[in-house]
Amino acid sequence: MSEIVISTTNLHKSYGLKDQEVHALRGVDISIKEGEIVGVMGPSGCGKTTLLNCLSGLDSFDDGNILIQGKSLKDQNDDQLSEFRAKKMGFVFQTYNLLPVLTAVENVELPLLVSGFSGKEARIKAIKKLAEVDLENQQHQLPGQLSGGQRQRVTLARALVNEPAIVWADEPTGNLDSENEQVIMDLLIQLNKDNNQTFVIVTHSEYVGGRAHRIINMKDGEISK
Amino acid sequence: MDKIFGIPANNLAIVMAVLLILVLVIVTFGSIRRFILFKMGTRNIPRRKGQSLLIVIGLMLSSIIIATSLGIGDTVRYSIRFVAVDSLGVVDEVIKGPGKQLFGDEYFDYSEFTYVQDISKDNVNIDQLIPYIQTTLPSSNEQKDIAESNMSVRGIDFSYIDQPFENTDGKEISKDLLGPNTVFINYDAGKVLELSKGDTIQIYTNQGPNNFVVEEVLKSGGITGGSSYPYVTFELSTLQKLLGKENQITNIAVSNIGNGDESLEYSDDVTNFLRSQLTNNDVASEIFDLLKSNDIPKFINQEAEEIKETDKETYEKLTDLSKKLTDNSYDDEFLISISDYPTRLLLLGILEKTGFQKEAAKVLVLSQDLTRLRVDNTKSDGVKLAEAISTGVTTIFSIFGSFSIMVGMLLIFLVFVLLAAARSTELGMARAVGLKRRDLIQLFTYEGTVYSFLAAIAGTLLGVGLSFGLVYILQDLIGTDNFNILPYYSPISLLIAFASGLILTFITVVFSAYRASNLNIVVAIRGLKDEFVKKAPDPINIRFNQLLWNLLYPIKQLYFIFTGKAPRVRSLLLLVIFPVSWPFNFIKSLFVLFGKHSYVLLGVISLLLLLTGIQNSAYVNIWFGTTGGVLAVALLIRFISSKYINDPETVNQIGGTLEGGLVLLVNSLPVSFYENFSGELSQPGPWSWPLGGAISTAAAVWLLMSNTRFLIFILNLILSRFSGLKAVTKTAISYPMASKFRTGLTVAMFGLIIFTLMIFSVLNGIGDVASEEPERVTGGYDIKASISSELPIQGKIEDSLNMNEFSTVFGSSSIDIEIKETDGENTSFKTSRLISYEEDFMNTTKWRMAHFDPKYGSTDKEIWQSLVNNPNLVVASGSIIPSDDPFGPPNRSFQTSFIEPGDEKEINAFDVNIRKRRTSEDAEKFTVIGIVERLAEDSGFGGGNAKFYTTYSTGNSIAKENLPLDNYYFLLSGDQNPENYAQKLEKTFLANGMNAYSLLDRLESEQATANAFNKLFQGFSGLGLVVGVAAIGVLSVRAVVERRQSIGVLRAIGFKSSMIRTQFLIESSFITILGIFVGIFLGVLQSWLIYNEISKELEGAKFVIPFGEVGILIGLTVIASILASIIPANQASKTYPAEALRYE
Repeated sequence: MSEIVISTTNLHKSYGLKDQEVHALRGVDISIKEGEIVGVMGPSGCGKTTLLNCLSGLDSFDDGNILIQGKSLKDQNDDQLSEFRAKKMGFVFQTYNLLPVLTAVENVELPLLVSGFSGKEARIKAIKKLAEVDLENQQHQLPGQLSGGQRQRVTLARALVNEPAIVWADEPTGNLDSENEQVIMDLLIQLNKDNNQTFVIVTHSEYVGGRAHRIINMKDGEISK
Repeated sequence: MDKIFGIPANNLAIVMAVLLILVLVIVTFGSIRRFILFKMGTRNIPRRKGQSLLIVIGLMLSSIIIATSLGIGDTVRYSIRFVAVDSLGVVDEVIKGPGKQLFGDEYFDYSEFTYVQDISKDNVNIDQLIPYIQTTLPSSNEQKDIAESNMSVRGIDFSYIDQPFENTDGKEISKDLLGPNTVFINYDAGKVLELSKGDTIQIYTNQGPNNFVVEEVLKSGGITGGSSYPYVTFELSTLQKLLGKENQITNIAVSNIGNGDESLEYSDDVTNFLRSQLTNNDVASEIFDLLKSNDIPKFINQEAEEIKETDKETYEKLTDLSKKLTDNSYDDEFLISISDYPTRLLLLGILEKTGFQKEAAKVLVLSQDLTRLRVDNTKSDGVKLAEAISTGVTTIFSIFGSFSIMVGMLLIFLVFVLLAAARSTELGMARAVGLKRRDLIQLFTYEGTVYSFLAAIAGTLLGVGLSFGLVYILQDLIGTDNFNILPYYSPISLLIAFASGLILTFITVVFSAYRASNLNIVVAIRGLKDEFVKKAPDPINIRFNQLLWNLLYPIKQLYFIFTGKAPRVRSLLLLVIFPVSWPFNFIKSLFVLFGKHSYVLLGVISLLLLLTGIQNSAYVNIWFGTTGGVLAVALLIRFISSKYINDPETVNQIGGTLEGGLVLLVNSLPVSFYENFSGELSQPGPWSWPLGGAISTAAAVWLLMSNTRFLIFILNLILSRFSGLKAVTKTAISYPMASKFRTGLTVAMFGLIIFTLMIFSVLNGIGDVASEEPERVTGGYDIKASISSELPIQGKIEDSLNMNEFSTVFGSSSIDIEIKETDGENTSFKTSRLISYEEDFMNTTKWRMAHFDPKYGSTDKEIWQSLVNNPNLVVASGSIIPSDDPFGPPNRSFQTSFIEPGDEKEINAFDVNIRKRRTSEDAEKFTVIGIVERLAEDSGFGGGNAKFYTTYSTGNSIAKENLPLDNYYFLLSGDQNPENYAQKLEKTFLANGMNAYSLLDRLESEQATANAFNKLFQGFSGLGLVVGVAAIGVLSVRAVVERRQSIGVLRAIGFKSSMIRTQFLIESSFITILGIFVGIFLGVLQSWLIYNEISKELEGAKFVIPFGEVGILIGLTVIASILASIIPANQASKTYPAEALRYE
C-alpha cells in the first residue's frame, strides 16, 4: 500500500487588496499517494497554478495546512523550504524557464550544485540524465539553440536530476505540438515507472489528463469532483 | 580666464550659450509640437525615483569635472592676479637701469627721472611717475631678538606721491610724517619683527646696523609693500644717505590713468611708448639699415618658420620684424622689438648662422648703447602670468578629468541602452501603432534632456564647491605665507561649465536615442533578446548613389530643405554643421559602400596616414596609421575565418582577439620604437594621453569580451573549488558574460579610471630615488645659504666660523651668461646661468652625471675634478637636454642639439661659446664634458632654465672681474640639527642678509608637497569611480527587473534567498574586478613604458607596483560596487518565488 506524500486540509489562499481580493483557493482538501501521476484540471483562473505553487512551497497560503511527506509546510521557514525543494522536488514549467545563459548540461546540473554535489559528480549525473531524455549530443548548446521540445526535455532532466520524490509540472506541454506532447508524456510516464516518483501536473490538455492516474478537477478555487 | 582649452573664453562662452539656447529651443519647440512624446518620455522620471536619482548622479560627473577644472583655474588666476595688482598698487610699469650690471642692484642717476618726466609729459595715459630705490636689506628687532634677513626696503620720493597712506586701523597717514630717523613698515613687517608704532627697527648696511623709529604701521598693499611680503619704507633721501647712493635711484614707478583694472588697459600703450622713447633712436636706425640689407629679412623669416610650431610668440615677433625690414618701415614698433633683449640675441644668432659675422659684431657693439633704461610692463605681466598659470592648471585638471568625462559619457550611453531594452516592448508597440523612428529619438531625447538638465545644474554647483575645496588643499600644499588663495568663480566659467556639461550629455543622449530607436518592431513586441537587429545592406548601386550624394553633402541638404523629401529641420541643422557633418557622412558612406570589406578601405586610409606620418615625421599620423593598419589586418582575418569556420562564436573569438590584441600592442609601443624606423618624430599635444588611454582600454575590453568562453572556463575551474558557492558563482559569472555589450561598457568605465590611478601610483614610486639617495639631490651638504650680493662677506667665511663644527664649507657665485654651441644646430646665443663654485665643491659633491665624456674621467668624481684641472671645461645641468613639456611655456633658454632624452650615458664632449650677458666682448670657447642628472638640486624637473657649472676662477675669468660669493654650502661634522644650525648661521651673518635652510628638510617638504599633489590629482581622477559605481547600481537594478522569472526558477530549484542576494553581489563584484584587472594591466603597462623613459635619465629609478595601494584601491572599489548593488540584490532576494515566476 503506497503512502500519502501530499495532503492538504482546508487550504485557503487570497490575492490582492481588500476591495479587489481574489479568493484563489477556498478550502481545498486533497491527498496524493507516492508514485501517483495526478492531473489538476479546470478552467483558467480556477486556482490550479496557485494550488501547485502552494503545494510546492513557492507561495505562502492563508489558512489550512499542507503536509509533504508528513512534514507541515507551515512549520518551515524560507530557507528550509528552499532546501526541501532542492532535495525533494523537481519543477517543469510551461515556458521551460531554463536559464538562457547556461548550456543544457549546466542547467541540468544546477539543482545538484545547490544540493551540495561536487562539480564533477554533478556533471556526470547531469549528462546521464540528459542521455535519458535523449539530449546527450545537445548538452553544450544554449537553450536558445534548442527547439521547444528539446527545451522541455532539458527542463524535465533538470526536474528529475536530483531524483526528487515529487515533480511539479505546470502546463508542461502547453507550448508544444501534439507530437512533442506525446514524447514528453511518454518520457514522464516511463520515468515515473522507473523511479516511482509522484507527479502533479497542472494541465488544460485532455491528452495529458487522459494519461494521468487520477484527475483533480477544480472550479472557482474548490475541488469540483 | 582669457583662454580655455586654447580658445578665447569669451568666444567659447558665446558658442556655448548659442548651443545651449539652440538645444533648449529645439527641445521646447519639439515638445510643444508633440506634447504626447514629451509626456511619454518624461513620465518615467518621477515613477522610478531611485533609478532617476542614480542616473542623474552618474550623468553629472562631466559637469562636475569641467566645473571643477574651470573653478580651480579661476581661483588660481584671481589669487595670482590679486598678488600682482595688490603688491603694485597704483604702479603699472616699472622703469629700471639698462641691465648692464652683472649682479646686485643697478642704480642710475636721478637726472634720468627728470628725463623720463620730460619725455612723458605729453602722454595723457601716464598719471604719475615716482622715483624710488628698491633693495633688500637685513633687519632686526633687537629688543625681541628677532631678525629678518631679507627685508624689502624702499626709499620713495614722496613729493611725487599724491595720495595719503592708510595705517592698519584705517586711519589716513600723511606722507610728510617721515623724517631722517623714521620709517614706515607694512603690516607684514610688523608681524614678522613684532614691531609697533614707536618701536625701533635695525636696518643693516655694509656699514653696520642703523636704528630707525617706526613712525607708522601701514596697511599692506600698494607702493609701500603688499602681497604679504614685509616692507620697510624710507623717504628717498634718507635711504640714499644710508646706502651711500646720493642722487641715485634704482626704479621709476609709472602709474597709468584709471584705477585698478582700468589702468591695465593702457599698460601696453604706455610700455611701448616708454620703450620707444628710452631706446636710442640713432643706434636703432643704424641697426635697422644693417638688418634690411643683404636679404637678411629673408633669413629672419626662415628662422621664424623653423620655430613656428614650438614658439608661436617668437615666430610672430620675427615675422613682423622681417616684414618691417622688407617694407623699409622704421617705426616705434621696430624700436620696441629691437630693444627686446631675447629678440636681439635671436637676431644675432640668425646673422652669425647665415654668415653675416661682420654685421653681427656690429649689431652687438651698437646694442651696448641701444637701451637707455628698461621698461617692465610689471602689472600687465603679472596679470598675464596669472592667466598663463591658471590656463595651465585648468588644462592639467581637464586632462586628468577627461578620463572621468569619457566614463561619464559611457554611463549615459549605457543607461540609455538599458532604458531602451527595458522599454523595448512598449516602444515596439508604439512603433506598431504608427510612431515614427524619429519620434522615438525625440521621446528618448526629452527624457535624456531632463536628466541632463538636472545633472548639469547639480554637477556645476558641486563642481564649484569642489574646486574651492581643492584649491584650499592646494594652498596647504604650497604652504607659503605670501600667497593667499581667494576663491573665485567667474560667471563666464559658470556658463561654460554648465553649458558644456549639458551639451556633452545631450550629444550622448541624442546618439544613444538614435541607437535605441533602431529597433525591430516584431522583435521588440515579442520581447526577444536581440532588440537591435541589423538591417540587410542596401544593393551596391544604392550605396554608390549615397556616396555620390554625400560628396555633395551641403547641396543634398539644400535639396531636402527645398523639396521636403527629408525632415526640413533636421536637414537645416545638418547644413548648419556641415563642416562636421559633411566629412563624417562622406566617410560613413564610404564604409557603407565597402560593407563587409571595409577593412580594405581602413587599410588604404591607414596606409596613407602612415606614409604622410613618415614624410612629415608626425607621430600622430604614424600612431593612427599603424592602429588602423593592424585593425584592418585583423578584420581581414575575421572575414577569412568566417568563410571557413561555421561557429560564429569562434569567428568572433578569433577576430576579437586579434583586433583587440593588435591594437593594444601597437598602442603600447613607445615612440622610440617608431623612431627606429622613421627618425625623430614630432610629439602630439597632451590630448593624446586621454585618447591613447581610451584606445588602449577599448582594445583591452574588446580582447577580454571576445574571450568570454575562455574566461568562464578559467573562472569555473577556480571557483568550482569553493563547493558552497558553486551554483551561485556559475550563474553570477554566466549572466554578465552573456550580456557582453553592457558588461564591456562597465568594464571599460572601471578600466579607464583604474588605469589613470595606477599610473599615478606607480609613477609616485619611481620618484622615490630622491628619498633613498638624498645626496643625489643635495650634493651631500647639510645647509645652503644665500646672501645679498650687495652685502658680501668680507674676507673668508671660514674666519667667522668655528671650523671644527664643519667638514666642508665653500661658496659659489652666479651670473647671467649668453651661450651657444660652437658647432651643432644651436648656434644662436641664448641666455643661461653660470654657477662657479669654490674648489671644495668639485672635491666633495655627490651630484651625479646623467651623461659624461669618458675621455675626461670614468667616475662622477673624476669628471668634477677635471674642471679643477682644466679651466676650459664646464658641466651643464640636465635642463639643457630638450624635453617635451606639454604643459609649460616654450623653453627659450639654451638647449643642446647633441643629446636627446634616453641617450647613452657616455657621450662625446661638445664645445660651447660663453660670454657674460649684454656685452660686446668676444665669447670664449669651453667644452661641456658632462651633464648633471635632473635630480640634482638647482637643476629641477621641467621648465628649469639651463645652468652651467664651473670653478670660481673660471667664473671670474668669464665675468672679467672678481665675483662676490652669493651662496654658501655647509656640511656639518657633528650631529647638529641642520635646521637649527641654519638659524644659527642666519644670526651670525645677519649683516650679510643670510638666508639659510637645511637641504634635507627642504627636499623632504618638497617631496611631501609633490606626493600630496599627486594624491590630489589621484583623488580628482578617482571621481570617475563614482560613475563606475553608479553604472553597477544601474546594471543591478536593471538585472533584477529583467531576470525576475529566472530568480523564480532558481528559487524553485532550491536557491535560498541569501543565495540570490549573493549571486547579484558576486556579479557586480565580478564586473568591477574585471574592470580593475583591465585598468591595472593597462596602468602597469603604461607606467612601465614611462618608467623605461625616465630610468634612462634617472639612474637607480625603480619600478615598483605599490601592492598596498593597489589592494586598498581594489578593496574600496569593490566595496563601493557591492554597496551600490546591495539594494537591488536585496530586492531580488526578497521576491517570492511564485510572484517571480508569474512575472512577464
